[in-house]
Amino acid sequence: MRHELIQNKIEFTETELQKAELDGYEIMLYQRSHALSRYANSTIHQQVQTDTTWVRLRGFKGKKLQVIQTTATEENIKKAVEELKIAVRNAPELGYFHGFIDKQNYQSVKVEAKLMDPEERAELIGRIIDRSNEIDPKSKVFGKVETLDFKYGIVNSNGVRGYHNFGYNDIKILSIVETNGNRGYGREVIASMDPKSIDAEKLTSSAVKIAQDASVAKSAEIGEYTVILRPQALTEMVGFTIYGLSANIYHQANSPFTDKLGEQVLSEKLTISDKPLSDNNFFASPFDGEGVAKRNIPLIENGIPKVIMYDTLTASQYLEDKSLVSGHSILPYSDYTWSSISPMNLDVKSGDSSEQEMIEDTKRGILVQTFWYTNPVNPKEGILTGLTRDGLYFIEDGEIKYAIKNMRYTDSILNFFSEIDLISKTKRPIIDSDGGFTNSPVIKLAKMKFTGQSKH
Amino acid sequence: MTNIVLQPGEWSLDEMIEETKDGYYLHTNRSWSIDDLRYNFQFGCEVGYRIRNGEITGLVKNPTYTGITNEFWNSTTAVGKKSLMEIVGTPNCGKGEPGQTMYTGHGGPPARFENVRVGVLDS
Repeated sequence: MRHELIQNKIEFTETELQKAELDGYEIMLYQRSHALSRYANSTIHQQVQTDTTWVRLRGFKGKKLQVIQTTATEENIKKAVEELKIAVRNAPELGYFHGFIDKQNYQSVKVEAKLMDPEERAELIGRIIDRSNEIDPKSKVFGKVETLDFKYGIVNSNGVRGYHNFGYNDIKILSIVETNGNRGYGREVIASMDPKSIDAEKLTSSAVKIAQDASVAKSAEIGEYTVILRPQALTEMVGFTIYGLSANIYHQANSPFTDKLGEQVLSEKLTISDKPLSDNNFFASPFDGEGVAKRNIPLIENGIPKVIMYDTLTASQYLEDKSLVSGHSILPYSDYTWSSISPMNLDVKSGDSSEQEMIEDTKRGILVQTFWYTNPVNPKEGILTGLTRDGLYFIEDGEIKYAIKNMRYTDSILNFFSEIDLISKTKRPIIDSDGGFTNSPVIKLAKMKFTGQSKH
Repeated sequence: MTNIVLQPGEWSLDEMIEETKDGYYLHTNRSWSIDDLRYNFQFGCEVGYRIRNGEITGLVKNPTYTGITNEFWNSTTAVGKKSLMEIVGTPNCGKGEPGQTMYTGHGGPPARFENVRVGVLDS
């Protein structure tokens, strides 16, 4: 049985917790098998795998709530339960806390990932290196082929009980080409459930071409440009946009959407949904990190923010009703997630265009492969800053003219997503190691402000 | 980088301000971003003050400053004395794939830099 180990450990944990004289408890128990083949200078230099089983326990007595986490050996679980009892006793009271979620009904969702084993990962990297050498012997390739197999179960004292699993293959290809002392960088990434669907040769060819072009890049003036964002670049902007719908950010007035729920604040062409119940979405799951039933919902529909994302604590705190939770408590698939509330299965609604059509439709603009190190400058006004990286081109009179050196943008979500010209029909799945997955098309924005130039 | 500290100089904060004809006194970074080769940076601060003719003349809202790393440090014209040192820093810093984080403890005195671009959206 796929979840036998988790079920057995949860049963053991529950028996221990029932002796702990708490008013309520919650057990999230999960197994992560995480493997990574890393390559640099066109050579595999790391093959690593970690297999860990963790348990996160929450318990409360009255209004006193605490959480504790440990690796899930029987000895550690016993110790954690004892420590949880002490921690709960000494916790401050949370006036708004109303207990854990009540029993839920879950919809079934199917995720069948075929994960690559070490030999398959090495074989794929071999194809990437071969194609890079074939196109340009000067190109050196760097990157990773990573797999995650994540199995988890949630149980609480109100009768919540659920088990599920998901997994993925995630590929990154970075080419570096040096021309007359100038280094050019080109990157392609893709996530996949089925390794056979990965066209490593095509992705490598693209990464090497970008690196070749970037090695002779010219400078472009700062200013406002029409931009075409490829899926990697769009994914970063979507992530920061949706962050503004997270309960704490929204209710603490740190969001550009605060008090604007239901208003037309972005382009009518922009619809961003969370689709956890769509079969074979990468993080598809019937329930969230505290056992709340998930549902497919548009977060931003036709440019109108529709839904604030709550876990039970924030629903209790801001809405005074835990049942108004939206099912967005993050599942602990990574140690590097940067928010406890996340949609995890984002989908940007397609249009009917293509990247080529967008380029032909552009008088003067910039094509962006990837953004890097984006951070909010003024969260309330939705102003972000960040840089381009690993592929940037100048477009004039409907053609890509030349690669340009990286630029810094500083602009508001409310500005650059206010006028969307075109969206592509096709999309690419992109895994974000700190927040989930986004199914992203190519998008053409009428305007985006670039405020600085890089040296490369 | 977990422990980076700027070596102190000889200046007091009052001296730095008094000898500044036209500038800004910026305090506490709250937003940060730097390119993949660590050249082009931009920071947003919690508070800023306008300096004119050696005096603070008022507050500025949501100040940002930006530059190129080596040009910025080569434009240093004053570094505060040892008594002005503070150890602060972000709670953590992360790198790697898969990501890893470490606690940080950065510090230093106030310092003055010439010809730094302050504010980016209205210029």
